[in-house]
Amino acid sequence: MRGIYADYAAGAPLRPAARRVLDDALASGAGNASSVHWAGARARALLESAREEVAAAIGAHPLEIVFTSGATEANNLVLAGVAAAAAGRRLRIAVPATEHASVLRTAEALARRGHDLRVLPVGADGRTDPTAVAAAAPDLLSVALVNAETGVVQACTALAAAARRSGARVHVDAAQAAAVLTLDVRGLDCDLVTLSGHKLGAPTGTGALYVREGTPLAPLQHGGAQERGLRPGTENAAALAAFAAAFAAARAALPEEAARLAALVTHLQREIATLAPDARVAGEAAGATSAAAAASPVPRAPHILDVGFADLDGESLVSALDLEGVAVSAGSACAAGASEPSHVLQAMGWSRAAAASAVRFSFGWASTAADVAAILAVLPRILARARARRTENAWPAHAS
Amino acid sequence: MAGARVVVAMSGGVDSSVAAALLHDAGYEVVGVSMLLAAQPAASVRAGQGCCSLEDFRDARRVAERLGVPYYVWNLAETFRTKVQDVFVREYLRGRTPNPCVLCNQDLKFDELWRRAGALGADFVATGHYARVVTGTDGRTRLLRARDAAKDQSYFLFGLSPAQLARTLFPLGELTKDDVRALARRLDLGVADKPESQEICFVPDRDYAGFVERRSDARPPAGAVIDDDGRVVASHAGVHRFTIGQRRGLGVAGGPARYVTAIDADTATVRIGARAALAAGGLVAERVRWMAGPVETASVRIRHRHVPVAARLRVLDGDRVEARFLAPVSAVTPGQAAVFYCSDEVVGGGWIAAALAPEADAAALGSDIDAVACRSDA
Repeated sequence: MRGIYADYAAGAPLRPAARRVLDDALASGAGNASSVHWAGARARALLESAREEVAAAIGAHPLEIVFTSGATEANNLVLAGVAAAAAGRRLRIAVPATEHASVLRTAEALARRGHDLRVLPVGADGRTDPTAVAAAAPDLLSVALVNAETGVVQACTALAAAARRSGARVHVDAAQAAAVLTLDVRGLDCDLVTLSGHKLGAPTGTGALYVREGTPLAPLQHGGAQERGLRPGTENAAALAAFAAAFAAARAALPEEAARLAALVTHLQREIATLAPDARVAGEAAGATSAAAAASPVPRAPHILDVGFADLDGESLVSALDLEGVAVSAGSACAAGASEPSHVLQAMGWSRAAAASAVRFSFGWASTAADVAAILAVLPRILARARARRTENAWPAHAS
Repeated sequence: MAGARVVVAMSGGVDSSVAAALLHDAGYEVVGVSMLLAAQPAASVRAGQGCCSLEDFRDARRVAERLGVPYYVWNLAETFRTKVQDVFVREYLRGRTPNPCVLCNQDLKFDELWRRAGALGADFVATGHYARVVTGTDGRTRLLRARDAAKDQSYFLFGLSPAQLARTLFPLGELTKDDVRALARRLDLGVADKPESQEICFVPDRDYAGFVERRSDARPPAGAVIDDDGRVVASHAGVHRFTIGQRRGLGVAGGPARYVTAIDADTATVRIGARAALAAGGLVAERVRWMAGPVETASVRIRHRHVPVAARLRVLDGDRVEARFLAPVSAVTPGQAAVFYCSDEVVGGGWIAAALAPEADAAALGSDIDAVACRSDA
């Protein structure tokens, strides 16, 4: 069974360019980048080249790049690090309700320690109104450019401008954006930007945080001077070099790659609208899966399609697709491995049941039209079976 | 039906693990599914401490890996809360003693799980229950007691429709617990020596009253404990703290042994009396489902492990049935299931609404339950 992979928002397969760099780096005899000898120098060279590449890709200075293990660590460092640098001052932290758990849970932990958390509402389109940001008058705004579940693109520039009126530091979580949108940290007018390696085809366990020069940030871990002391511990130079290579490859493919992915998603979306007229695409008004409605869509990232299948159960649809070799996901996984109905969709006004019906399809560098065709080859039967079972009665009405 | 796809409800325990292994060996296309029933499964990491410990999920996943079958965890917490836990709380507040396991079978394992399994094209749902499903030459599918009377769990399975039974597999129905543990050991499933699961999985500390109070909007009203002579002998902190036949926690010290004989939630009254006062001559069951029948006589089981007693059944209005016992039965408990057996077959059952006082002329039904012919009025 050939696997169809359509879960890039969870993690992308390793790009060939990244694999080559990783293999070479592992074979090079690179040591600890902090060591003074030749082996350390090799690792240092890999690491600093990677830093320069990542910095160049987002319009930053190399010294503004702090490598991390990924987006979750970077988001934790942002919120807790900005709070720690505030030296006892009570910060007002504003985050949209649709943020990733690594932002929401960290912000809640800070609120328990006395900081003032403002969870901002989003509209049915998944976007936050800049006036809500201005009204919150935050000291720190943290917002995802592209939502990981829905692909909804926040109007980050407008939100940042609103936050600046109260002198806020602005953090943009670009973990899901980097593979499909061109990023320019100066244009975004932000102080901190989270990047994830494995979302764009780098090895897992890689990521970075852009920290604009002069941004007060305190480390969460101690015991090393690596990454300007903000992230102690020996850097994984080989994997970070592969991260930089993957990022460079992703960026080089833009904007054509985004258009290519958008075409795949548009095709899938139209076919699903035919297969399941009651399906609803996250970020669009109810019933807006039609081509007519798709003509004036809310800005969504090109690679994600999050679909609610009315009264069906997303989790079992994901299982059914998996049995057919199609990898997609539903909601976010809990410790046991089950899914929780999406907090993102519920924040957008979806009922709990509607949120539990959602299936997320997401695509990336190795996705092809054949993948979409393969999904569409199995989806009708799965939906038909699920629907038939949903309306079946165990007992005649009078007997129960 | 080798080759048919079957969803096996896997708890990580020995029974469902062996059930999955047996079906896999028999050529079924097994898909293992664990049901997440609590929103916070991480409360206890260790197995054997209620449902949904992370260790149980891990065990189930390891068994599925060993068998080489797909495995998923599905979140049924919302359905479990509304269909099982909320009913559990409501029943206790009504002065009844609920049986959540029956509801979990009727509404989760053999209903919601089955529906969700539809997407997978699963033809069957299987569990590690000790019970048997057989389809006779007449095409009728029947639910039978397990071969191992000591482990029989057919009581918890009443109310499954013939249609539900026809798509249900109980691979352990012909086996004893010792057989199952031996199989688990031989197949090296890693779960052979896990302890038996708790009585009610979502209240592992058995503090049912505490669970009811945590899940109630308002504190259940306090009331009086009244002895059989009409005297108020104590006060109590809510009827949900009592069950029929309960001897402890009555607030009466000394004197002859006293048992809860009746609970009236409307007046928040708990009545107590001597052991003899627990005797009932029959019961009224409501929301009765006939899996085969109706029948006029049957042996009736009023709780799990209770030895069924012969009874004459009479259909009252609608889905209510009166059962008159051959011999008095102690501690008939409203809220529990009354399950009707004809020999090994579960022909129906319902929920006990009330106990009936003993009658002098109880019955001329014959004393040996196996001698009671199940007579259908059809």
